[in-house]
Amino acid sequence: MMKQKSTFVFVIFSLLLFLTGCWDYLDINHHGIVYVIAIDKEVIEKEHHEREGYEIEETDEKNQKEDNSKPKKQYVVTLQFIEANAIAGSEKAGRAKDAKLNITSTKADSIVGAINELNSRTCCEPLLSHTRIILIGEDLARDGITKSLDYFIRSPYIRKGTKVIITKGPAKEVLKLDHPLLTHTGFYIENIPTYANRLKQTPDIDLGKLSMHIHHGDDFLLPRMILSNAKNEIKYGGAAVFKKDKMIGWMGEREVLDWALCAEPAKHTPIDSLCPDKDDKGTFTVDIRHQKKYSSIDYKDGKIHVKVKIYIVADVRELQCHECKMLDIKETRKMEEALSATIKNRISYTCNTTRKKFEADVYGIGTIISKFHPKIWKQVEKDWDKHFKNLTYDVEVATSLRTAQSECRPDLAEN
Amino acid sequence: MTIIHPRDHISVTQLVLLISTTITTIGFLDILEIAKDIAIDTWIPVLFAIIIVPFFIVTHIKLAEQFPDENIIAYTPKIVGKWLGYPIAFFLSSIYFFLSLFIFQIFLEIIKVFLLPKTPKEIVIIIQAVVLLYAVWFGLNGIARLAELMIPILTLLFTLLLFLIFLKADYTNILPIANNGLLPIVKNIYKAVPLYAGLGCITMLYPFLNRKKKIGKPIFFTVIGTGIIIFFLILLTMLTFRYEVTDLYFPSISLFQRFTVSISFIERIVFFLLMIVIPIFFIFSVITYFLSVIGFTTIFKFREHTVFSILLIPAFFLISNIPISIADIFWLKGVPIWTIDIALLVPAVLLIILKLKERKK
Repeated sequence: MMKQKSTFVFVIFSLLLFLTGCWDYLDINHHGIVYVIAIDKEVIEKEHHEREGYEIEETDEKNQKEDNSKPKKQYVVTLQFIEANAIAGSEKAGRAKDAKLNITSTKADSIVGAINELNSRTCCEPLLSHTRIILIGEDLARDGITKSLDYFIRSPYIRKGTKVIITKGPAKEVLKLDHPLLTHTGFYIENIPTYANRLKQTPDIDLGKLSMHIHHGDDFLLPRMILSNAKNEIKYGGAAVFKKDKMIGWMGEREVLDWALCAEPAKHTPIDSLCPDKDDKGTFTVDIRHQKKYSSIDYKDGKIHVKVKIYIVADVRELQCHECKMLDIKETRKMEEALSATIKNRISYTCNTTRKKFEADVYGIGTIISKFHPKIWKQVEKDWDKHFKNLTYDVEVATSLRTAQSECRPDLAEN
Repeated sequence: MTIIHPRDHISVTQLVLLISTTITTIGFLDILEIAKDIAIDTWIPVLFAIIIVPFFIVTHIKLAEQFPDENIIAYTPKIVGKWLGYPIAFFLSSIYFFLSLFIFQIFLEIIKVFLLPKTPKEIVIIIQAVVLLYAVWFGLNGIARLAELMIPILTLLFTLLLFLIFLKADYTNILPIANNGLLPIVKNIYKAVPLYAGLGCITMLYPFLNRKKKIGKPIFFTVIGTGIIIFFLILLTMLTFRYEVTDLYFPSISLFQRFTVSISFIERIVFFLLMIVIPIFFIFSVITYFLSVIGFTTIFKFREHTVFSILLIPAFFLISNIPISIADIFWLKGVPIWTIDIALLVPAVLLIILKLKERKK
């Protein structure tokens, strides 16, 4: 018994030896919490590759001249740090009144290189586990995003729910915005998608989903952000179209909404429709309550025919038609038909135009065929681009209107 | 004959929890190996393995009941003779040692990647080796109590998390099912069977049980129950990642990494899960180490297992320190999967030989 106790005491004390220091210990004050990361591309054609505000030693300069034969691509990585005392608590409790925008930027051949380089400029180690948004500049996106996102997909510390957004123009500029409503640009950028996603004018995609698309070699959409310097605001809408991992163009907000009705589950999404009476130029607006989609694929004579049936249940939110009585079932049916026709036309038009314009399978037709029709997929997989170009697309829409808020009268202004 | 100290006696509940721990540990790591060949159909061999496993449970229990006071290492030479018996006994003991070692290496990798990237590997190994020695030295009961503490928490948390993920999963991601036919799936069942490597605890730890009757039911229900939970884990991993699963070192951990609970104070559930998973890996490493110690003690006819628990530590420490890449250790390159299948089949073969011998008499 005595022997056991002494062994126990010995083991406990020997374990204490290892508690004297921890290699991974870093005081909270020395962490720089990164909230938004902006990545841009810069092509260097100068004699030597300058890093912002840094002198280059002679020996380095000689080495760089040797491999300066070709223009070199570098990443411009900009990090926006959170200033904890500027966002938490009340002013009485010590919250800073004027929060500064802590933005640091550098250039490097790799993302890790840039982050390491930033380590030498800031007094704290960049902590990426709280990153909410990754902004990618248009130029870089057109070159391909797989390499620039590899570090973030690989890292176990980055949240897979981090939003990836493509900016029209340099991503770095978005972070310089000084919005009057929110003290921190990062919060402003983060909060916009939360509300805008409901409108379905941008695709709802995060780093996790994007990593799956990249891995499967899919074509996909990423949300677009436009900086309006004149208005000092950001517009979050539309999408960047990607073929494999390269950006090939933009889709407008309306086109993305039409895409979403066909490709993504939509809920509480508002849609405008023409009034059932052809002479009536007015519109009515509905809010989607439920949406279901069924696809069927036919493969005949080497041609694919896709048929999509969409069922939508919606509530009327605004009525600007002259003769529309919601309690009259015939009138309601007419409205449903008008809504179905509007949605069908919109989807068909957008689908055909985007398919011809981009030749990218952003609707995921290839994925649907590979999942539900593996035999057809085996036949078309090799020449998928050719088959995709020639496929025919047919949409059927059935809608059902449930309520019209608290009023069942037609246009209130008319009465 | 090896002396069984009273502190080494365990209850049937403790035994089934130890087995459950081993299934969970291998379940976390086995996905990648199966997914290499059949990608999205990975869940099917796991389902088949659940159907096969009762056979292994029955053979292990029936054999153990024939020799209630001895372990499989002791009675194998009695059944098949010295020349064949000792190599088999040595093979089984080595399997457990290497299983312990390689699971420990993966455990080290998880700690390095997810929790302590800057801490030297040697420090983690030394601490693990000291704790391992302590756990083995002071008997099986301590290990079993640890399993008793961790498994209920893990089961509760696991079920809750899996349910959360289930709500968000895309069920079409496992389509098309068996697109390349059933043959590749059947060929890969042998990779799913090692999930139940822990069944070896029955034949090795039977003499340590304080009640040796009616152990069939609790073992059966626990093994099948844990197998079903692991099946759902693997299914959900496939539903979440589809073909991407083949690119992930730790698909199950990545699965929990993919989901965040924004309303909870613990937003990133993966770290909460790691708090539970790491001790489970540790328990696995300790149990298999203990089994190998018992095995070698029996082969070399030592009276107490404490001698071998010290003798194997340097080997454990040295091999753990060999600088090999994750690709080398993944998944158990040192312990090929078929050897675990053979280890699971050994009791069935021994039982058949024993029955044949009895008939001849």
